Amino acid sequence: MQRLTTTLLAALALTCAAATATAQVPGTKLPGGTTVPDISGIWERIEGIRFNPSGGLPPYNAEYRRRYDEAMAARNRGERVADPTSRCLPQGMPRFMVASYPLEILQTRGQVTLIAEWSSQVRRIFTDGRRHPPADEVDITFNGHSIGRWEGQTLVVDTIGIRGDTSFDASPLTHSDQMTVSERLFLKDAGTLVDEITVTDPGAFTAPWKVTRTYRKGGPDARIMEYVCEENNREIFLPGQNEDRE
Amino acid sequence: MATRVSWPALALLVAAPALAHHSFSMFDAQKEVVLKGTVKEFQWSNPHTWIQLNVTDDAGKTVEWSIEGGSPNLVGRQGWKRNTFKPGDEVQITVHPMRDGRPGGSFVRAVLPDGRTLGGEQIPTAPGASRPQ
Repeated sequence: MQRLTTTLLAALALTCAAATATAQVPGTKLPGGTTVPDISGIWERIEGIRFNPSGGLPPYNAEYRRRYDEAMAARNRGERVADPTSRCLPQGMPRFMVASYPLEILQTRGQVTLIAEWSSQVRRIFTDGRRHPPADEVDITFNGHSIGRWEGQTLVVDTIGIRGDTSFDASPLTHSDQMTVSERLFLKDAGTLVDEITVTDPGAFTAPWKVTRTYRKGGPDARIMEYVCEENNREIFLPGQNEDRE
Repeated sequence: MATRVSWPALALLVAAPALAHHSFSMFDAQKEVVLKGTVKEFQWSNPHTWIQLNVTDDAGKTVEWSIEGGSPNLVGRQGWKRNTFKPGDEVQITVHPMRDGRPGGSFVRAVLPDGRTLGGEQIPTAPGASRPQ
């Protein structure tokens, strides 16, 4: 009988843990007595669209530093340096988090969804307890595959499967296809969201690159506008004009 | 031709980039050109707004300028509306001109028919003279 009771209690505990993992809407009780904070709403990036607000470069290895210097030299000569977003391609992660215009965050069961106004992009962070697909199977995409879990009041997110041909911002800050991104999202106060972003890239960096971004909660009039990049993009290819494009 | 372009289309089409997702290197940020003309068309569109402005020089020759502005998502939050520029409006617009001399530029500021001024907003820049999407 005691064994049966123990088994039942263990089963109950597992059920509760599963419920906690999947029902992560704001207010859901978490282990330790805390509840899932409400990070939903419209958030406006504070510090501009440069990925690193302080302006420092990533800890590039020699090869990627050389690539950066060459691209900057070309730009300073007046040459046009390719930025895929000029052809309306997505920023990709982690530039998604510094794209122009606000982000909207939705919290639903098992998922935190980020909607970027720029080109109406959607990024899904799975909080249902799933794991990443195997590294050699995961689809390689602009925003990658993100899984998250609440640690206290912080949403800890890990992202893999990110394309190697995007950049960190409109400057020629590139990375390799070995890049992964981890994030710690938390409310500094009710109106301030912080994303501590750590970029790891054994192919391009000599150490992880940590950048902290801050977002301000949109006011009552805040709204997400439509943005269709392809609507009237005159940045097009012409014979003899596209040598410097991707 | 019944398009928004009145001169060789190629020239205009190359005259594009700007306030957003691409390098600004085709415009000379060190120069300002003041244009007085008549609005032909205001394209309230993404990724950028465009003002097509007919400018007549002292010799009586009219040239259509393509002036690239911020996206509706950017300038709309700074008070611009889709009818801020109307066809037929006589306006003065200051631009950073294209480096290669073609009649295009990026919007700097404008004086509207009622005397109001637009522009001068500080737009954050990324390294390498790029501007926000």
